Amino acid sequence: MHLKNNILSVDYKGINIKNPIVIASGPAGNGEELSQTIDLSRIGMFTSKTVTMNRTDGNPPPRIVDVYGGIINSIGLQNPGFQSFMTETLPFLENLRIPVIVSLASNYAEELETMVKALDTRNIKFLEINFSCPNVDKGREPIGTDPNKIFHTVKKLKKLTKKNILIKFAPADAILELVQAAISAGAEGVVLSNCPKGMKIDINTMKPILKREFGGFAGPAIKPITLNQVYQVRKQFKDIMIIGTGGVINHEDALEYIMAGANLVGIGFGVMLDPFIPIQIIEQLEQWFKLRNLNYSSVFCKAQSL
Amino acid sequence: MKKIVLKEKKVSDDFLIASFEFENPFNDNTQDFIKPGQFLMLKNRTEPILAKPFSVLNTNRNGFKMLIKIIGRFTDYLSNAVSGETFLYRGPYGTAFEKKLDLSKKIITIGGGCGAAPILFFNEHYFENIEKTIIGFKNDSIRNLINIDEAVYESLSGKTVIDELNEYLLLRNKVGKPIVLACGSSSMCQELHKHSLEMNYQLFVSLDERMGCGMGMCKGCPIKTKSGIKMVCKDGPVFNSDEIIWEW
Ligand SMILES: Cc1cc2nc3c(=O)[nH]c(=O)nc-3n(C[C@H](O)[C@H](O)[C@H](O)COP(=O)(O)OP(=O)(O)OC[C@H]3O[C@@H](n4cnc5c(N)ncnc54)[C@H](O)[C@@H]3O)c2cc1C
Ligand SMILES: Cc1cc2nc3c(=O)[nH]c(=O)nc-3n(C[C@H](O)[C@H](O)[C@H](O)COP(=O)(O)O)c2cc1C
Repeated sequence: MHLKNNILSVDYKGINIKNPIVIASGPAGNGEELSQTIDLSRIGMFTSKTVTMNRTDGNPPPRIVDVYGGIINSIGLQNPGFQSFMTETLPFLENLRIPVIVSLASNYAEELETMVKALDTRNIKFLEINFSCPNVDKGREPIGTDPNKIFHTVKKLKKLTKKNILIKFAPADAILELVQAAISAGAEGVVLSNCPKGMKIDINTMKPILKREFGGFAGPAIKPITLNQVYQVRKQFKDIMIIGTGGVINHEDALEYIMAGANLVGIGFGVMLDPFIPIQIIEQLEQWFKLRNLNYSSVFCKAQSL
Repeated sequence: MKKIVLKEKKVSDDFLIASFEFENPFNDNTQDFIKPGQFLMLKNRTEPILAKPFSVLNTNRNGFKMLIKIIGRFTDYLSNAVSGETFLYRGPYGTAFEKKLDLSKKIITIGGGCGAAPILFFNEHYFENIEKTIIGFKNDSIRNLINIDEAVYESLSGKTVIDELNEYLLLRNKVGKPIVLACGSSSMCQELHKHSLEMNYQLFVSLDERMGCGMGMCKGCPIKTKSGIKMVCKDGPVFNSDEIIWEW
């Protein structure tokens, strides 16, 4: 990572990223609606909603419930499937004028291979393999909790593409082992973290509120957990790309991630809370650095006792 | 999000009426900034709680009025807020009723509880289109807040809006298949759907689903339809009830 003149911009292997703010996969869909509210060309990077090989209808409602410090969601990767994504959605993303990450998920390595291969010639900079969606249970045993499967899957994918590959994990005690498997197979980096699982019970009906009973917990309440994941992983892996994600709703949250060792900072829930938040954070970061005569690289990793 | 100021508020047991004023009024035609069927996402300034969807009851040059049922965190908060407090809103979002209804025909409008708000707003805009209106409340505490001519109170009459509609349809003496536009709880909408099949009328329902972003991004408020999964916030909130697959 090199620093450009601009106090926020980040260079990664020749890819210019205007600022460290990344729209995380899911809450902002594929940007069509968000682009009518904010100027997406001002964002660092945009991540697509996770795409699956076949159309996925997602879970029945209610899919979202408020809890203290965030929401629990059980969307279930609703998306129109890979073919439709390639023809209907990808052209829009390719024209955003910022680097784009396409997020892919499957419990079947072969499906990931097909999608990764087909994307190799397209105008996107990163592939994100979502090994951690809490909301789908169809198919085989998940790949993303088994270091062995992660290693073999990522190894195969790396052979099929020149794109940078990021692996997205949910918070896990064994996170270092999982990251080790991904990195030694050739992945460029990781996204930490997806939503930890959570639930809410309606005491009047005495039943879980989400139709699917549990879901992924997102928002400010998870930040201490996801921030620690970033910190622990950075401590062991000095050179990998880390996108720190979880509970970011203002520039102070973003700064904590950068100080913990995240190269870039993802925003999910924050975009739902208020779609203007990503732009506000970028402006506030810029101001924060200017006031202190600092820049991105002067705070990066500073919380680590190196 | 844009700022609005709570100007005036009246609270009964379970409802409130709130008038909000824009901090920065639009230059022209402020009243028309939102169409019946569309909604605004509202939140307070401090807490990281998702904004919640609300219809407007009416609009004027400086702002808008809402009829709100007090049921949870945001609505409780609002019921205790004092005049002068600033709130945030974004929108309007959603598809206006006029986009889905054939306005060359007369329409029967039904509102249940806070579903009264968009229906009364629609009635005001399209009074020439209204064949009949029934606004149902469980009890009559709402009378302390607002006088609604078409209101019926289950606690007094023992009849639901569907009972009232049924009576009206049995005596209806008009040519053409009746068209009903209804807004209320999911259970009311679903009951109406069954009733529409029995009584052979065309039904449009404006659905009350829990929303995430309110603008179609997050896929938080799905409804299963004959043409696939749709989002209540963006493709709706109003749907032709024949299109909906109610069991999911
Ligand atoms: C398009 C649209 C227009 C609306 N217009 C109005 C309006 O004009 N006036 C009005 O009063 N309300 C309206 N609503 C409903 C309103 O959005 C909710 O009542 C509000 O979100 C409640 O917020 P809260 O924070 O007070 O409650 P919460 O704290 O979020 O919830 C309180 C309790 O109600 C339950 N709950 C919340 N939402 C729903 C739901 N949709 N269905 C069933 N149970 C639920 C929760 O599980 C909880 O038990 C509208 C909804 C939609 C989708
Ligand atoms: C409504 C919603 C949908 C999500 N969909 C996806 C998804 O499709 N793929 C994915 O990798 N993560 C998904 N996530 C997880 C977010 O990208 C993010 O990792 C997580 O929510 C934590 O960050 P946050 O607190 O900023 O939301 C979703 C989260 C939410 C709240």
